[in-house]
Amino acid sequence: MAELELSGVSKVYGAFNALRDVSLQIADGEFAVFVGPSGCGKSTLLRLIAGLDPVSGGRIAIGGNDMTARQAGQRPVAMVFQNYALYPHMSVFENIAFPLQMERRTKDDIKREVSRAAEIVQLSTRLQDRPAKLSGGQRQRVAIARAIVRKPGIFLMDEPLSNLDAALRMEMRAELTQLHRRLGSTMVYVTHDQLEAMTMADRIVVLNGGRVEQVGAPMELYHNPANLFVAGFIGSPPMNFAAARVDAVEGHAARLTVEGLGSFAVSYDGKEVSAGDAVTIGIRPEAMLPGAGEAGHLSFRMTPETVERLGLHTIVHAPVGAKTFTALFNGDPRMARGSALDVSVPLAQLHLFDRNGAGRSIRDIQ
Amino acid sequence: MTFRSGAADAPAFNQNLGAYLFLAPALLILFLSLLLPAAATIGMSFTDISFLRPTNFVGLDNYLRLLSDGRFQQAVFNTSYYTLGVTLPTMVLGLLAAVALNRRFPFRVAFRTIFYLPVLTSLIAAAVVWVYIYEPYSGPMNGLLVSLGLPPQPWLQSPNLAMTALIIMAVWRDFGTAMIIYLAGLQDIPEEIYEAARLDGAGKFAILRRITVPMLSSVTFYLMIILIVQSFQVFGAIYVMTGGGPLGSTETIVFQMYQTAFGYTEFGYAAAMSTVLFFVILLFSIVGTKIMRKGEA
Amino acid sequence: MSTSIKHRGLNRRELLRGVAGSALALGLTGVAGRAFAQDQQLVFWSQFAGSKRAAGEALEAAFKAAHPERNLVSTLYAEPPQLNEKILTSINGNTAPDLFVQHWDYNLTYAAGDRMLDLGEALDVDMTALDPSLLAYGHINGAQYSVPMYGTSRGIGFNRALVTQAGLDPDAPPTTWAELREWAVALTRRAESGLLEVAGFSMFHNDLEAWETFTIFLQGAGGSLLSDDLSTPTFAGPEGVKALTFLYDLLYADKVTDLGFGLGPGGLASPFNTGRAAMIIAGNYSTNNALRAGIEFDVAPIPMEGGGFTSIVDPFCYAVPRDARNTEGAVAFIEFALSPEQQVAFAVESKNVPVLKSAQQDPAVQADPYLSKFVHTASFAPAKAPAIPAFSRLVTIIARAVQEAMFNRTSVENALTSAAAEVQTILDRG
Repeated sequence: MAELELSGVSKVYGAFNALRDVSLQIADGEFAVFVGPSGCGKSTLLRLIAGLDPVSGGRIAIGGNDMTARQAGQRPVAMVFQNYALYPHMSVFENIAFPLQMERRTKDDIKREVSRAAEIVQLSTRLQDRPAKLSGGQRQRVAIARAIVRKPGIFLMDEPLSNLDAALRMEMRAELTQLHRRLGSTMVYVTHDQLEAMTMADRIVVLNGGRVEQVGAPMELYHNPANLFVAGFIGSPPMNFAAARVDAVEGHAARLTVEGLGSFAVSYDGKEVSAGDAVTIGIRPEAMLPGAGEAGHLSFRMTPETVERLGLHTIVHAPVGAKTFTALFNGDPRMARGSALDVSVPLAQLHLFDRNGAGRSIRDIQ
Repeated sequence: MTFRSGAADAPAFNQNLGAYLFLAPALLILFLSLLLPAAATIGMSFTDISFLRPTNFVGLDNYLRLLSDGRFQQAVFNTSYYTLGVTLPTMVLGLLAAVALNRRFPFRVAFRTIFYLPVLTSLIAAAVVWVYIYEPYSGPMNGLLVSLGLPPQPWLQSPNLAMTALIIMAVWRDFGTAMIIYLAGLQDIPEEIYEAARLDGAGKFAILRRITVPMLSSVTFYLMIILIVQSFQVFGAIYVMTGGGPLGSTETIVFQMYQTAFGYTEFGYAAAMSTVLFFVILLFSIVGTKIMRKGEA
Repeated sequence: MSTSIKHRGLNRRELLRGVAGSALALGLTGVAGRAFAQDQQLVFWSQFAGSKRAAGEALEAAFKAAHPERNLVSTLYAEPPQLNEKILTSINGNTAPDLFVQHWDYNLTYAAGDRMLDLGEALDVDMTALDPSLLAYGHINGAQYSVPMYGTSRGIGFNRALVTQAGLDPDAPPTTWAELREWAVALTRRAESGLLEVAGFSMFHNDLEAWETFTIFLQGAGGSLLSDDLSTPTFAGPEGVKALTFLYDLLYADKVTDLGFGLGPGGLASPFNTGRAAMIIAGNYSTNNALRAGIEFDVAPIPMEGGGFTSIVDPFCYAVPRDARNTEGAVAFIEFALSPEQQVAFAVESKNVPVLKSAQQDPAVQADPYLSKFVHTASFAPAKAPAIPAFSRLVTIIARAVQEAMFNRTSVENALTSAAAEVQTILDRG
């Protein structure tokens, strides 16, 4: 059990800045997920925490103790690798026992700890098998059991589910969440899959280009993404964006013109923009409703190019101005490819991003 | 049952006919150049063939004679000692060199080349150089010992030391091969395994012992067989450096085989030696395999 | 349809007949051609290599000039073992040459298999004109299967400069074992640490020399390797014990050399040629390297225990396979090589002792300062030779016994007795 504190951590490979000035605090017992596209630095950050690579700058503390200079084996962490990294020449038992043997624990002790861990991951019957005889999911459990026996302050998991098929991935997601609850230890989980992040995390850390874009609870990120990047990354299907021009700001409202959507006014505190500014609007696909809206809604017509019916939802792709918007409707409403359709969006759910800076969100939702 | 399975096999054989046809030339060459002479050698070992006098079948006489031939037994002992003495250190040094050179550090390629160079030198040239190195009065080996405050040694001149001296040279020559093969084997071990072990608290030595060595076991096995077979057949270096002496302390089975066949024209007896050598190599290989398997299990 | 098949069948038969016919014709031509060529050629496998190369080439050139009709075709082999491998396989493959020259002991092996021509009968040469001690090495089973061209001989080789430095007279070399011992002791130089700087007498540097040195001292004590009928080893008797004990004492009591001193390949780097040994058992073949190394080389006869001298000669001999196709040509070559003119020319060029007694005394041979000395030492070699087919084995066994005693693995008596028993087994096996 331990909290993790990163202050000003950076990592440079030659001329490449893999991580720049990352500062974070992860509370004891928290399930934190590092998410971002490949190359964003999330795995690098995990390796720095594990001690597999040295930091180029900054400080890493676990449980209040400075770990920056400590070797991998000397940190109170355990790691589960993407490809499991099991020892192929050892049985399941020996794999799980290995870290305990390195601690020079007694034979009885080791036996007890291994069977306890094996029970947790439901592998008690396969202890004598070699990893090669196990399925992908079972190998993953061995890797987790090997991490469990170390009783680490922090579990580090590097895309642990990416080698599993979709069904198994869903099952393991639930199991990992349960495991976290059962062990109550801090977990840092790396994934490129925002769905995993949303479903499992207490707190998500979105990384991009070696920087932290936003840290927050899943719903916080969903409703109030700090910038265009987070807005586009969190949520599936991703948010629709369109360029807009600020025509006028009057009191608590701003009048915008968007190509394909026409001109409309949104409530806005007006601090950030003035007439003539260029901004970006964002509309989540699930915020769009079929039918012409009432007051407080932005209504427009669009002609679907594709209609994907999933039963629970229907996904529609349609050109709006120069862009193609994606809309997600509940159930199975009547609509067809090629025939025009009225759509409305509650203006309260319209996201606004500054276009001069880094695409900062300039409108809080709710 | 038998009939049915036979019938089921028939089309498979026809299908394989093409494969057998393609293999035929190679098999024929193998048969003529390897199996036939081998069988002939075993056959000759039951005769007193000399290629000069009329040949008689002598049954097991040659083998019975070997049993009481003190010189041959010494040669078997010498050869086994040489084989163990070369094989084990070559593999250990090869492994250590490979592990050391598998890391990234400056001049790593230079070191690899230096360690591998002896393999590329001509055996005879190397032997001549080592005779000079071992020269008891002006050779660099004793120069080194004296500068370390140790007494000089008659390396090739003492029956107690000569074989060891030959072993040292053979290890120097062979460990480059072992290193290259181990380096190739190391490439196949995923980096994550080492990282997992580091995170599990394993130190450098524990990683070598518990992870690297066991994961290289198939490479080790291959190397061991190669080295055993090669060492058992050692001839050239010994012929040049000691001529089997002093006191027969470096006489090996192959050396004696050559002498018996061509020096004494006792080809039948030499064939019996060669057959024994064959089974000794086989025995060593099987024992080696058993040890490896045990280590793996 | 049926006619066409018949027609084709006929054709095939004709074709086969034609092929068979032409194959036969080709074969006949080949046989005839080979037979024709055989009449023309004298195939000679030579081991006149190294220091004998020039002499061998001159001999062949002279023969070609004198007998152009013999059509001599020769092949040179660098080492006796190499020629041996070739001859063993060729005798069986019926591709043996008409004539070869080889170290004598190999020839005895071939002769023991009754594969050689009795040259005593075939040659028209006066055998009494040849050196009997050299000739003895080609005599086996009552016949002269192999005839020497030349021999090497042994003497005490010494470094005149070192002898002078030690206060000894290089012109009055030892004539008894006691004097030899005095010289050896006086010539030995050791550093304060005991490190050997100059060996007074470096006894042997490989197995062959171990055998040779022992045999020389065995003869010096009045003994011999084998009984007169060559059926029993006699080297383990009191003379053998005396000889080996003398060598043992030189090593351990007088410390005139160190065990294994200079053991190795020899050549220019040998202890004698680097000035680190004052005396050795030298052969005429030692001369060139010693002079090239700048040693003040000299040779003296090898003293026997109580006076008188002894030596060993070691001939290279001609032999003709019994089934040779051109024995006539082979015999002609040997007779030519044994002529006084060729004997002298070969000896002078190669610095070896000629087999022809008159050639040994020829002014041209005697004019060579070193060769004349080795001709002199050769005269002390015994007339009997250990001419047995198992000679190379005998050498190995005795060399081993000598070294076992010298390395203190066993006593002098035990070493010789068990070696004699081993030799007896081999002689009995035949």
